[in-house]
Amino acid sequence: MAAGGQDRTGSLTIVGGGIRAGLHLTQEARVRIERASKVLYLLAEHAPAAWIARLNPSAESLAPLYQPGRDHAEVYEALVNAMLDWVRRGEDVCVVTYGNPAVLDQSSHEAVRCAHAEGFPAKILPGISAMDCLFVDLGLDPGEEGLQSFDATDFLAFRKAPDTSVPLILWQISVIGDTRTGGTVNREGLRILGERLTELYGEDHEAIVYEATPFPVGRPLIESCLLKGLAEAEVSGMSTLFVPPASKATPDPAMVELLAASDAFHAE
Amino acid sequence: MADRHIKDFLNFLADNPDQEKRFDENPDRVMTEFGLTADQQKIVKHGTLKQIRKIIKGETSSGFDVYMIKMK
Repeated sequence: MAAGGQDRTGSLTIVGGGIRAGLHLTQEARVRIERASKVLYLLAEHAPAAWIARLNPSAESLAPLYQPGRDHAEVYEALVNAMLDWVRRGEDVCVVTYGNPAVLDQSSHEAVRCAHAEGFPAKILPGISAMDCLFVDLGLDPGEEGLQSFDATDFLAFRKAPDTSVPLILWQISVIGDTRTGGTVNREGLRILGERLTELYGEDHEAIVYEATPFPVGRPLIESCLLKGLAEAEVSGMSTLFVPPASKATPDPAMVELLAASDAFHAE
Repeated sequence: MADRHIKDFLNFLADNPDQEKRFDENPDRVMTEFGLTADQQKIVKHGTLKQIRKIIKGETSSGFDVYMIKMK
């Protein structure tokens, strides 16, 4: 219902295409793509995309908005506008992004907020994120030792203090501090990250540069590297850094006792 | 030109989960049926993510070389 109580035609649904193009698509996302009157899509790179056009011939890539050297904020605004332009024309728009549109993707959140503000129905449907792939490919169960996850730039800029007994995931390590789109890895940013992590974990601590495969074939990229050598590590635009714990967490005896008493009480 | 088949093949698998399952079980058969050459089959089977990405990029006429990294 629009502001002012009037229904407006046009709607926005943003669906996650997952990481492995086509194959990670959920059933609900597939139906949304098929039934949309206009489909827009943004994949991470030149992963297979023909499947989107086969599901809906109106499909149009948003990739041209990512011209090299463009300010991130400008691209972000252009993406939101591109989505909303079609909605305002009365189209039922489905936007397909890679991974999960709700994860590390402010433009999707912002587009939904803007659509709502203008009275259009809008929502995000989840997809398989790079984190889901990482859990599988690295055999990491976040329920075992917990998990810490930060955007790499934020991790440094806000001087986050991680618990070194808990696995740490740092995203977008190739573009640390970057404000513009580009095709190269910011090695200086990696060097600064390596230094900060070395302070926290020690220089002999190993991390893993991880990259899920966006293709239906091939293996993920899993490369170990010393934190002090991070600046020289093989990193691409889609790399993520996994830092294993440096120590084991130790339980608090008083709390363990309290929980045991609670369990006994509960069992009565 | 022959390399284009690899991109087409990846699209074929992305578009056909049943074929992807068949590929998982018997990659040689599915690739041969699709018409990939022996060299292409070797790349698909043993190529690293970097190698496959390079081939796909080479097949892209726009030469677009920017990862569409999500912004936060």
